[in-house]
This record gives sequence, C-alpha cells and structure tokens, in this order.
Amino acid sequence: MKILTILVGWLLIVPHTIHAQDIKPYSDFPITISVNFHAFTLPFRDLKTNFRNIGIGIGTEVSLNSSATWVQQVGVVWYHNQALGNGLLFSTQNVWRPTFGSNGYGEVKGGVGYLQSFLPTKGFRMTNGTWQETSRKGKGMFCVPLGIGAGYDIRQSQSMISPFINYQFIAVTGYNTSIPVVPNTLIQVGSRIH
Amino acid sequence: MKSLLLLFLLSANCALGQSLPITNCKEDSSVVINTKYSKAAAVNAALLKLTQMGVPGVSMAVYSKEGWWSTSHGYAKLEGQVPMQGCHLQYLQSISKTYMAVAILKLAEQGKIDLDQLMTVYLPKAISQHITQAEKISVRMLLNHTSGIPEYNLQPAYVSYLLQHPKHIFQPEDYLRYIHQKPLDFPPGSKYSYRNTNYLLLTMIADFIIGDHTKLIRESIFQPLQLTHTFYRGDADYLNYPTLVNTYWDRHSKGILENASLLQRNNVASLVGDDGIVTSPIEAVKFLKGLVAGQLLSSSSLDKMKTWVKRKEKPVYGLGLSYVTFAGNIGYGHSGGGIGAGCQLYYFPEKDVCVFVAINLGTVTDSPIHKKAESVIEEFYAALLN
Repeated sequence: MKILTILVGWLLIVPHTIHAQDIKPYSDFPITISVNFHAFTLPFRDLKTNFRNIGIGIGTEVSLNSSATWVQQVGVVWYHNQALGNGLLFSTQNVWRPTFGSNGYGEVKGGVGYLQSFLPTKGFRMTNGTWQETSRKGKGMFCVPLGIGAGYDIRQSQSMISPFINYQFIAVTGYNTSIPVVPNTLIQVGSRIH
Repeated sequence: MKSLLLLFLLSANCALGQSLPITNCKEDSSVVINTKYSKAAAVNAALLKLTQMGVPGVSMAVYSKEGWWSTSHGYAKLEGQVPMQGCHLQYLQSISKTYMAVAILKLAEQGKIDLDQLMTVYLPKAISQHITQAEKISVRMLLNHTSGIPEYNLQPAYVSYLLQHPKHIFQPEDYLRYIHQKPLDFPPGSKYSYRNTNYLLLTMIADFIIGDHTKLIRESIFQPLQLTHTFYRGDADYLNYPTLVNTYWDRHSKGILENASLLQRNNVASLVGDDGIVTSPIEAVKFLKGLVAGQLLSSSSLDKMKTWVKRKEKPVYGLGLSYVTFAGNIGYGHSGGGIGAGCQLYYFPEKDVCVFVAINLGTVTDSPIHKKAESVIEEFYAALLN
C-alpha cells in the first residue's frame, strides 16, 4: 500500500515540476501516464481485487473539436495479474469530455483494442509424441474498452496538468471457444501533462 | 522511479504456482488383476492414442466376466514426467452426483425423506428463498434435473470470480446467491435440463435432515463397500493426498496445456454433492458394481434410479444416473468434467461390464485435443464391449 501511495503521489506531483515554455493550456499530443489496477471481473464487482493487480499505462490524445470536449486517445497498458496472467493492452478510444465547474471534467469513452494475454505459468504442447514446454506468450485478442472517468485541470501560466481517475470495462473476445467474451476491468489513476 | 521499476520487474516474474506434489504409489492389491484379459491389447492401443494426441494421462479399470483389469498411460504430472498409475487418485467430478443420489435414496428407504415431497418441506426458508418457485419443486425433480432451477456455474459473475481467485473456497450458500431469485429456466417438471444446482440443494436437504451428508455418504457407501481410497469432504486431509493427480487445462483452446492443479483442487474442495469425490479407478468401479449388484440399495430403489426422463423422446437421465449408448451398447452411470479433469463411469448390462476411465485434462473449456479424443473414446468402448 505504501508503494501504491508513492506511485499515485508521484503521478500527481511530478507534473507540477514541469516548466515548459510557450505551451498553451490545452495542446494536442499530451503525455498521459497512469497507474492501472486490473481485475478479471464484471463491471463494478469485486473492486477490491483490482488493487491486487497493478500495471502502468502511457498514451496520448488529439482533440477532435476546438473546445477539446471530443478527443481521440491512444494508449498502451501493461498489467500484472498473478492468477490470470499478465496483459499488454493497446487501445484507441473516442472520449466525450464535458466540463463542469471552472476546472472539472467528466469522461465517457469507448473504442477498440487488442489485448495480448500472457499465460500465468509455463505451457505444454504435445509435439511429435513428446511434451515440449512452450513460452508464456498466450493469446492476442480483440477487445472493446468502455469507460467513465473524471478529472481536474490545473492550469499554470503556460502549461496544464490534468490528474484523473477512470474506470474501464473491457470486453475481451475469443478468450477460448467455450467462453466467447470475458470481462476485464481497469481502474486508472494518472495525469495528463500538456 | 527506482521503486516503480523494481515493482514491475518483481511482479513480472511472480506467477501463482499451480502444480502440486505427487508421488508414485503401490497398486491396489484388494483385487486380482486378470493379466490375460482378452481386450487388453485393443484397449491399450486406444488409450495410447489419447496420450499421443495431447491428453497428459489416462487411467482406467474394468470389471467384466473376465474379472478385473486396469491400465494407465501418460503422466500424472507433466513436470518431472511422473507416470500415471492405477493407484493415483482421480477426480470424479459430476460422477459424485450418483453417490449423492444413492445417499438420498438411502434416506428414502429409511423413511426420512419422501422423493415426491416439496423441497421447501426439508429446507429452511433462509435457503429456499434463493430459489424462484421453490414451493413447486420436489426432491425427485432435483434428482432427475427437471426442476428448472438455473445453473450457478454458468453465471458470469461466478466464473470470473472463480478464475480470478483460484485459492478461494466457496461456501454452499455462496453458489445460491449467484442465482438468487433468478427466473426458472422452465416450469418445474416440464422438461429435463442438467443443472449442478439441483445436487447442491440435495446436499443441503440431507444436511438439514440428518445433520451431515458427508457422514451419510461415508456410512451408506464407503463403509459397506470398504472403499478405503475414496475420499469426500469432511476428511482431515481432504484433497491434500500425495497420490492425487495433477490436472491441466487448455485455457485458450489452442492445444497448449497449463497446470491447473491448485485451481482444480480448490474448486473441487468447494463443491458439495454435485462434485467433490476423488477415488482410484478400481474403487470407482467397485462403487457402480456394488450399486447394480444391490449392495447399496434395494432393487426397488435401483429401479427408481433407472426410471429415465426423456429428451426428444429418448431416455436421458434417471435419479443420479445417465443413460448412454457407446459403440452400439446401452449403458448407465455418469460422466464427470471439470477445470482439469474428465471421467466416465458406466455399467453396460447386456455385456455385464462395468468400466471407469479418467483423464487429467479439463473438459469444461473446449480444446482441439477433445475433438480428436472423442473418436478415440468411441474406439475405446468398441474395443471394450464388442
């Protein structure tokens, strides 16, 4: 828990130390860094489990309108999950980001992605009558991420940082032929740095 | 930043150990094996095919007019290549339902339960309130899967929790919460649909009638048949046996197997009545052989077990017994399948053959290995029966 506190604190504090010159309050292609907490669960269930499976994410975004209330995000998240296997999630999502108050905003997002789900233990395959160990590469699967979130813009004279929290539900297709779609969730705490 | 990096490096290499220790064992000497069994070569050839196509290990026993015979192929544990032996314990999975049905029929013989009485007569409100229209469902409907009660292990919330928490032990009522007041799949008694929930409820009924259904199973089955290598919950070392096979599953249906022994063991340790028994192949056969020979129940009770409900005009299930045809031969008994194991226990009356076969590969998730194995299983029964 101590490490978790340090990580979250780092994400919120580091942006304050950036002193960029001639940067507008919102600019395209900010860096988004997040700490992610993964679980193999239906949405809004078993939230405690998310905090056992930590990950890290990095991404960016581009605005689709002048007020930046519609943006397109791209990102990659790596997470550790001891029971189900680690994962590497690539995604792009369309985000509606309405503002409220002077600096607050909400987020509703959805998109498409690709999850490389690694095996939690080594695998075995029968090849020419003998058992061979396989890598933990696992399986790549297309997925549909959906999310909600909220954040706060901290505007400085020539820069802006936006700490946020997101909850993502990811419907992963083709896990195996018996279970065509499996539920994954991510709680994301991070900051966008313009 | 250093601590962040260290955390990820550590976590990347930290996987949940699934394999369990297993030892070689001494073969069962309680029966005399007929070393000149006439079907041995053909049966061995079929089972060898199974292991060559990617089933880790297979073990079987048969009792026929030629006496006892048993054989094993492949591995009880792939890591370290521990050979499968006939004395290794196998997961019975849903074959446990036949044991539970026998226990309920034993209670009926003792006049402690009426099969046509409603389940609400025997269950407290706290339990029956989970089930929609519980007041319309009889004990017999639970036994022959005509209750319409939904399946707990098809609930996405249950399946995802099970996989995310492989060490978690569920309590019986936890399963009922997953189907709390869900609509019935069909009106009670109107059709057949196999549901594990039915047998979970039967154990709860037995518990409320006599206090402990595990004691009932031990006293009405294990003890009279002298089954000393058959185990169910309530045992002090339950599922921590050094001769219990390791089990494997094909998580992504790609023909790549992972050791799932910890998940399998903890899953089975949680299951009551619909699963939970482990045994050796010979003792599995001893159970069914004893049942059909009238060592456990009266002929009237056995006839009740063999009163088949039909699906599409064909007999399919009795009371804890399923009706099957293999290689043109009619049989009855039960099959079992779980995360890391699969098995079949059947009696073929026309041939007077009783057989058990088990593999340590899971059958609940599809695998290309299963598709290839299906034809070999038919070949196995043809070798055994024809």
